[in-house]
Amino acid sequence: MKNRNTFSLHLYIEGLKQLRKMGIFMLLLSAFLSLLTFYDEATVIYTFFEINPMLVLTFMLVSPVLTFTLFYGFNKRNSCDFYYAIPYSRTCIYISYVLSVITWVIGIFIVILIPSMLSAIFFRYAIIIYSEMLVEFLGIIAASMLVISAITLAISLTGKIYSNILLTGIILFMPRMMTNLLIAFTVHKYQYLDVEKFWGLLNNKYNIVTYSIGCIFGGNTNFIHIEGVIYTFVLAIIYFILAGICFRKRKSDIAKTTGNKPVSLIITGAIPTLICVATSQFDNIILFYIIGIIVFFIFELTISRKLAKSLKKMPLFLIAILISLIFDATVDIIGNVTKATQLEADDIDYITLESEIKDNYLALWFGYDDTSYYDLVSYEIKIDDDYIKEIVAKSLVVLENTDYDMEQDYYSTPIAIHSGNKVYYRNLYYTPYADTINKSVKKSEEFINKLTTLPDYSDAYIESYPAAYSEKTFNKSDIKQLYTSYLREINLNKTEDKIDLIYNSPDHFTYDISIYFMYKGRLATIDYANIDLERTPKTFLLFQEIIK
Amino acid sequence: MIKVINATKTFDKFTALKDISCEIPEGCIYGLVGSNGAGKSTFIRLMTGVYKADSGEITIDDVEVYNNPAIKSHFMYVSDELFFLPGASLKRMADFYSSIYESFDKEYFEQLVNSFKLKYKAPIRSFSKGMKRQAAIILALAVKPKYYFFDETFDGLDPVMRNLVKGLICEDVMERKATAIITSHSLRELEDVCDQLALLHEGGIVLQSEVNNLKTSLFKVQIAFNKEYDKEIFTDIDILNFNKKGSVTNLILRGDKDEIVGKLNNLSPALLDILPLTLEEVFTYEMQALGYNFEKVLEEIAGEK
Repeated sequence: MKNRNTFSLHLYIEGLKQLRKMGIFMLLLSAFLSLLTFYDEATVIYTFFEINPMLVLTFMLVSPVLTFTLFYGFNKRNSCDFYYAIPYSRTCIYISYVLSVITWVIGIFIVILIPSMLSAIFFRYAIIIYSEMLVEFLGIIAASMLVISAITLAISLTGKIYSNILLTGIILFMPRMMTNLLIAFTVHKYQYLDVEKFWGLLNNKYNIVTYSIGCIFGGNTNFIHIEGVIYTFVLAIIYFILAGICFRKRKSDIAKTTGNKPVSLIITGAIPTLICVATSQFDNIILFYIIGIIVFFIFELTISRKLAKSLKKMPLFLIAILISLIFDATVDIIGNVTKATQLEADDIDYITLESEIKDNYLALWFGYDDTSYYDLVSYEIKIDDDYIKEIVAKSLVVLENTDYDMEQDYYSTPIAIHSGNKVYYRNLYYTPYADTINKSVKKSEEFINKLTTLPDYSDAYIESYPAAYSEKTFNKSDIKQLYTSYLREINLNKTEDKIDLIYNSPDHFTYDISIYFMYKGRLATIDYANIDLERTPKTFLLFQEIIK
Repeated sequence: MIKVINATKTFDKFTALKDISCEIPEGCIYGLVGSNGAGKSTFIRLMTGVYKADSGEITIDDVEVYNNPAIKSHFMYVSDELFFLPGASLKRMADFYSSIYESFDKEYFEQLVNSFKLKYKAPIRSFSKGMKRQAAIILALAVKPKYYFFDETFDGLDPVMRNLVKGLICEDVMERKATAIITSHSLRELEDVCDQLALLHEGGIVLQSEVNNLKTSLFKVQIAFNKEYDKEIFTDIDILNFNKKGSVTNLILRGDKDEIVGKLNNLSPALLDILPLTLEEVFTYEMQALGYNFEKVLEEIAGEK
């Protein structure tokens, strides 16, 4: 007997056929946009942005358009009746059609990717770091899955296109907006929590869809990391399961409606809630509550088109206010609970440096390119010096909410305090010892050794831009000569000079190279290692010779 | 057999169907008539598993219908609002149906396409309204299911096509003992094709009966006497309606026709004629006996035509 309960090959093929026109249009559009945006600067390529920025359209445009194209029919009564009357279970219809969408999306992505990769390999002098590209490939697929799953979840719960779109936006972005606000407000109020790892999965970078949008606008093109790939895939699976359950239970009479009462309330209440939450830390909160209630009323009136009905629902706005109060309380609970954590020096095994999350809300969206080798190495150094442990324990006592003056210099040291199986993340702002802890890492022999040990040419990907000085571009042979010479010469210098040349910005003229290499399974970069006349004379002159 | 036991369906606060029950035996053509908003389409959607009843039970061959692909392979539902796969031609729809219904008869389908003179490979969206309806009907007929559900199927068909379709349905029912459930606004539409009729009004079945019973259970008599008379003289006769104008009276009577005519002849009338009743008249008087003002219902139905 044919399987009519989980997957139907016939339905899947039918879905592929129904998507043919739009799929081909999306393919041609993506291809056309790809041609317009040929990105020519990089020679070391580890992100799709440098191959073809339009590849992100796979999840930003292609996935939503194809999903809506195939599932839009469920907003109409006649097509709903048709599908619910044929001898397939709703689960079977859902799974078969979702797989049709996924097939087209992956197909379009691969078809656009192949010529882009070939052009990068054969027509540009480009070194491609395939392991990083593979992570990105999986990341784009994961992001596409997440978008598809969110849209099908929204369609399972609503029956009008604008409700579908609004609910999709809420599902995809609202949770991250709330967590970003929570982090931003908490870190702003309790600066000692400005440590990336403290926030774990709440960090925006785990969700490739939301993170990528901010990063693209912020100019950060390296927004896909393996952690984000895993998280995004898992979230997509959860949404697919939820969507499948909701689709199975979906009533045919939901077509042409905004959904049942709880769903309608979520749609109308989401933005007012966001307004209340986003302004919960402001002094004139009442004004924003008024704005929120007006927005709530307008949304409700748009959906119901009945003044009396809309007015009757106004008390439900209290839910938005309640959520903002809970949100506000959560900020303080987090701050106070963490502040209360005190440790003795003897309880501390060792300390490591960590990265900040930044208390800037926009930075939570824009992200930053965290491949710096300098930082990666600094995070590995374990400090178990007794004096350091003592000052860390003392610093925990003085963790106060201090307002800092932007005009003043300040120093912060985000650290991880390892105590047995537990790890405590704190950012030591304005404590007398922040600088001391930071410096102790920088003085560590292990740290210095790692920093000054550059990879061999065969293990590295080297990039240099002579464009600032000449019209000439480097070829592989030029790069090899330069780097080999640089390695020889740099090792003739004292340690302080080595570090200064490789990692600092000197105040005299230098040429520079960037070094990319795999460090413990992830990409590490040394941007703009300097070549100067005094400390690397032969390399300096070689550089000049090549660019003549 | 289709069994509906105390099925209720509400949408928000509106009760579309309330405690509706019926049994539709195999091998019959069951007609469901009612005005707009009576609940005909809702009832059909419940029986085909498109809707889930809020309470009650709906089974086909003693198996629950809702979200049950196995039982759905035994019926075809032709909705009042037609739907075809986007961009599909008759050929593609036939291929689709043949992949999901094992009983789909491709040869018979092609025969029907030729009989109806439809274009096999043209996109169905280019068809007229009537042609689309023909396409939906012949696709359903080609599936040769055990049960057909036709929701206002004859709308949009010209009289010739209408008769052709009725003939095909009747033939299929007779040959294969299929069962057809047909809804319509029009009693006249269903009168000559259905075995059983039910009247749906405001979410409930107010009357259901075999068509033959309906037609033979009541009859009209026109009677006149040379003397003064009133209703009292017609004792022992079940009169549903007494309408006297001058010396001539129209009577709507229920019972054994020969026996009643015999009793009337014994009264020595000057005039005694037995007149046929239309199905609408039968429904009218039966409904009046039940306490409904069927004329109002009929007006609603007529007004919507």
